[in-house]
Amino acid sequence: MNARWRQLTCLAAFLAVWGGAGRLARAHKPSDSYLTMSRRGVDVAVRWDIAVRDLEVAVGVDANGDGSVTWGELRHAIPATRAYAAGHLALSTSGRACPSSFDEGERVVSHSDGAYLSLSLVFHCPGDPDTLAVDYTLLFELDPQHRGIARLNDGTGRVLIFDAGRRRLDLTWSGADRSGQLAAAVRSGVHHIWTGYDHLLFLLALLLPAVLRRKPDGVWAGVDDLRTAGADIARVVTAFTVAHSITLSLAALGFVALPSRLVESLIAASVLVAAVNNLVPLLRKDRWVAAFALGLLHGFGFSATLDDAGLTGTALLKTLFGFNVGVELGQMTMVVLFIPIAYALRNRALYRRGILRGGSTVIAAVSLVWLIERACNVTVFGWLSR
Amino acid sequence: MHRLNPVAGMWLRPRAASWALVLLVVGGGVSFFATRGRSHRDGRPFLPVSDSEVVETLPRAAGDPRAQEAKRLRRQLAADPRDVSAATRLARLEIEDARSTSDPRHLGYAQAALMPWWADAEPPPAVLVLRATIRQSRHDFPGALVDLDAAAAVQPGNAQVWLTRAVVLSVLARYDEAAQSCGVLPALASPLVYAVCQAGVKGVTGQAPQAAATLSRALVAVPQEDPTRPWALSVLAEVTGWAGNLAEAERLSRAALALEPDDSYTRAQLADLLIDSGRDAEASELLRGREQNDGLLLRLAIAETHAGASAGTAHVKEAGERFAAARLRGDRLHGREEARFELVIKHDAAQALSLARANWEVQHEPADALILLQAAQAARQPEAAAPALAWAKATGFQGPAVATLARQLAGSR
Repeated sequence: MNARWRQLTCLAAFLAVWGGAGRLARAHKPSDSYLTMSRRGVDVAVRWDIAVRDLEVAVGVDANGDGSVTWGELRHAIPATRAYAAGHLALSTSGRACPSSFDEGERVVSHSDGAYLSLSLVFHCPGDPDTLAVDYTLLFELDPQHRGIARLNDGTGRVLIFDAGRRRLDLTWSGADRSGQLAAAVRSGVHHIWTGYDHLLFLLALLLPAVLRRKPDGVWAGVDDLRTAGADIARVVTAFTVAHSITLSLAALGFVALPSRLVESLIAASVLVAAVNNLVPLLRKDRWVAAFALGLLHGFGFSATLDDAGLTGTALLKTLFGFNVGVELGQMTMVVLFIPIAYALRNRALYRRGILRGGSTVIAAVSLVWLIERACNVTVFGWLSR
Repeated sequence: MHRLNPVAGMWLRPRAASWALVLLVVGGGVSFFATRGRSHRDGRPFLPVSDSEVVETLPRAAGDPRAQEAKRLRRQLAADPRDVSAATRLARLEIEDARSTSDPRHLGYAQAALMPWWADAEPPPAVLVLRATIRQSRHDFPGALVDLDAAAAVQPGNAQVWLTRAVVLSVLARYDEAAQSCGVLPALASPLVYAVCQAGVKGVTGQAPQAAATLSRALVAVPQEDPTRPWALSVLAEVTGWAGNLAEAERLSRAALALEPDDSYTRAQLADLLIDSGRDAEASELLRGREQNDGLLLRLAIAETHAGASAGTAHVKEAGERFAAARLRGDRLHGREEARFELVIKHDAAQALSLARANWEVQHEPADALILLQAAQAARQPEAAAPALAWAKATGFQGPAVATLARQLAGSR
């Protein structure tokens, strides 16, 4: 069964017919590899994305020669890829080489011209890598128009470009970084919760009914005092936080690795469940139990962000801690904005009908689109996707 | 208070339903603006679901005959990198693939095959022409010209050299020399090749109607199946457009495209003609499914933006990302297109002008003059248009869009 057919059957399974689905044809562009370099004490961590197409030319990844590279074929080519890559990137400080090692956990990442294999490696420098010499020679013998594009993850956003005529570059880390590493992780956490709409909507769906209680006949009524609402919110937020901290740590430290599409689909499903639960009671337990159980999924989602920032691998506890603090700060900001408004409006029909039901319906609709998109790997509404 | 199924109730009670509608609109609007421009999973590393998940489709399967030929030649070169015959065969193969797929990676592979001679002042003649082609594709026109001059000296009987030389000289606005280069062709190539070469030069230098007439006559004498026909039709279409006959230019472009649907240059030319006459829907139709090519994607984004189509946002974003990626790697190949993107889609006239000026430093084709004039006018800096105005005056170029703008800008100075 080919991939297109699987997508179609998957869509059909949702009994949904949407217009405008589909993805753009991939760009044609010259060969580039993308590096993200982060400094961690005497270590330098590098996330390195190399195009699958280029790997086919350099080491050969399409084992059965059918033109389709599967994840299995790519995985088998990882040892050869590592050997090839390691021979074409060298870091040194004051003339002394920094030996390198690869972290487990290669990923696939999509850039404008197709799929890339994302490698993660750490250089252990013999001394303070304040200033580094970087020697980059990947692919030049096969494609002299290839470039290596390295972004420095030190808050400056500087970019180094290696080409066939410029294979060695010297860099000096920005001083701001050394003290600011924790702060950067905190900022990254805050940024992620505020731009991670799925997490935000999930939390919102759980918080919307916090200023209400369901009477025995199923009708909502406002709670009597702020303390009841506050206690409920505290339970929900704490449960969500504890749950996603557990799974974020497990994933970031490399104990658990789940397929990303599965995680993202389940996260979308969790938002859908939380929203629908406000319309039709699905979950019998208290909402904090749901917040905990479903929150476990969201931790795996957060860990993808750490991957993205090139922050995985060894010695990342400080980053992990900072990121978590950032996520909590971002979350608390939303709660603090939400409580007074919700509490003030709780006895109005506007709140029960418009905000609770209408809002939950919107959240449910958005999360359903996400679920379909992520499960079937299609884009339904470009503007709704994330 | 009556009790209803909460979901059913929401849809049935008019007040609740209208609230829901309001929220739907608000929620939709908020998520529209909040998530606009993000695309599914792009740029985020992920772990595929299973070993059988296809992560990439290669443009050419390893079993493909051309791929095998390339592989064989590469092996041969690994054993002896200075094997001129294998190197030039591989480079030619890759250049052909670069043309047929418009995938620039092949130009890199071609260059790799020629590396032993890349910096040589006097490489073998076969290498000279190929090196010139690659340099030309990198918009290194002076470098390409040096190679072509050398190639013409050692291979005066090679028509391809004189033709390519004429094209490069035209891009550099050295029209007399370009015409001289065309003038060598009657002895070496078919009358049609000579006519096309001449039409390309004369079309720019104020003789577009005559050039179109001469080329039409040469075309009539050529059989339908002649392989140079689509190219000749495409050049004739362009020259006819410069002569102001847009309907005929459209007909000719369509005829050329029917013979060679993968010709991106002609497709772009036809798309521009449609966009300029306000036929954006037809332009979109022409370009859809061809987004791989940056130039065609840009025109699709422009046509859709004009028409207000929602798909336009995705194409605009994609085009912007490709320009950003090219800028990141330090490429200056898309100056003309990027200037147009900034001007027509982003409405950033200052940025467009700076790109159009830098582009004019490199190349002097009519489209380069046009974008410089447009950007200068939009940025209210008519003096910045001076080089393009001087070019139009010196050449006597008659293209209607350039002529109109030149009049307006000359009047405002």
